[in-house]
Amino acid sequence: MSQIILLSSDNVEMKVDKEVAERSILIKNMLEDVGETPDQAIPIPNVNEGVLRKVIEWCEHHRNDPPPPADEDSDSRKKSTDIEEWDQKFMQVDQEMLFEIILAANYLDIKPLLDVGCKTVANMIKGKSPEEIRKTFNIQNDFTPEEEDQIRRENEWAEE
Amino acid sequence: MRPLTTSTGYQEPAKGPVSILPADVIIAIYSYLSIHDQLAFSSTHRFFRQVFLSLPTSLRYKAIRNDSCAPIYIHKLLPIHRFQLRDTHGYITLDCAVKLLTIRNYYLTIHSALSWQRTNEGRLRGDALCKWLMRDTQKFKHWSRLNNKAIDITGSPLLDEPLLRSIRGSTNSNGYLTAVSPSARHGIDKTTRVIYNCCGAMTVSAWLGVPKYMGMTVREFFQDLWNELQNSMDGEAPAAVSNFKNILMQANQLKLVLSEPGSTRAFGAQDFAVTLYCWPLYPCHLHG
Repeated sequence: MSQIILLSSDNVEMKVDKEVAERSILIKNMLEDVGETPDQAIPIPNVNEGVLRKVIEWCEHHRNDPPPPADEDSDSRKKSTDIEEWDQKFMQVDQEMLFEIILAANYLDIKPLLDVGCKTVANMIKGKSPEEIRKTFNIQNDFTPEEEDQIRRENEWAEE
Repeated sequence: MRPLTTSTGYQEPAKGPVSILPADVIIAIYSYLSIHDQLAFSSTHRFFRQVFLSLPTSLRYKAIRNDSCAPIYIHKLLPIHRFQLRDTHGYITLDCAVKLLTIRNYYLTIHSALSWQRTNEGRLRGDALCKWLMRDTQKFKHWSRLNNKAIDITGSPLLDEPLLRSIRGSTNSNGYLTAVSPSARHGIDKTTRVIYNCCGAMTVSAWLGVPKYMGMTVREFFQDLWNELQNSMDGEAPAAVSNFKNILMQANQLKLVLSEPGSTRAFGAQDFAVTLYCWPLYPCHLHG
């Protein structure tokens, strides 16, 4: 099986099965453009070694998954925040890593991984009050009291 | 950390790790949240509010539709009027959202509240309306569920709110309001229409397009509609339904739902219902 070399932003080379790397649409397209398996390392400038290893781990586990549906709004993809058990464990990382994985998935165009990441964040938001969400993600409230009042009024309809 | 930007150029300094995510990813996260959670998330920070306000309409609609609590929210929100007709003739419900004060925009839809079973029976018998209603079974199941609950708005202060708020627009040669948005499609179906006034609030009377509603309160609007309905109930039930349909068709709203000739034959009037819902929206282009 042919392999390629990926080069992280911190200049660490990683040998990966081509099939695994091609879970990334970005890399897949790049390889198709080149036409043959490159000898040189493919630079992944936006992703550091730690994050790239995690992404490759995910891609290896999901190497045989069917391609995601082409339809962006596919109900099967959008309607549920259920996450496979393996993916749940995979996403049990600190928040910084979680968001770095999401960013990497976004950059490398790995939609299923991006979905898992977004679902994970969504699940962390679900059922929480704004204050609890702020605490969870260390978000600083930048609304003025007047704006908060306004938002509260606008959202009244959904409150208990 | 890099600054966050949106299509409107808004920039926000990072305020925690979640802030490293670009707006596109935040939108994707929103897509997995119910409307309730969307509102909570959007209330945490200006940037998330901004992204929320820029969400595509379809996402907001999905957020409501996919929210298991949606019927509760909706029916808490919506002043609903139920018209109980003769027992033998069943009932017609008219559920109308008229909370015009705190939410700037509404998503208005009207649909049949036929039960799943009855509609399916009609479909199997080849009824055109039932077939049309069930062309999307998932959607229809959802609508069926929504209609399981209703509350009485008797005594609600909303009833005494003006039905019509300030209208931007003009009247046509017949004196009918023309301030109706032409944007009839926002992801549901052709029976959907969004109407704004200059404040961005929906105006039921503009939607109805009938001058007489201009000075009415919500209560008077319902009463008037009810009176017309009662007056039309002297005949047989199907005829009454037909008249009611005609009343509402003044607004050109029921064309697709009810315009099939003889559409009530398959299931009889006892299961016939019409529901008007207003869905809250936050279209950014009207915000502020």
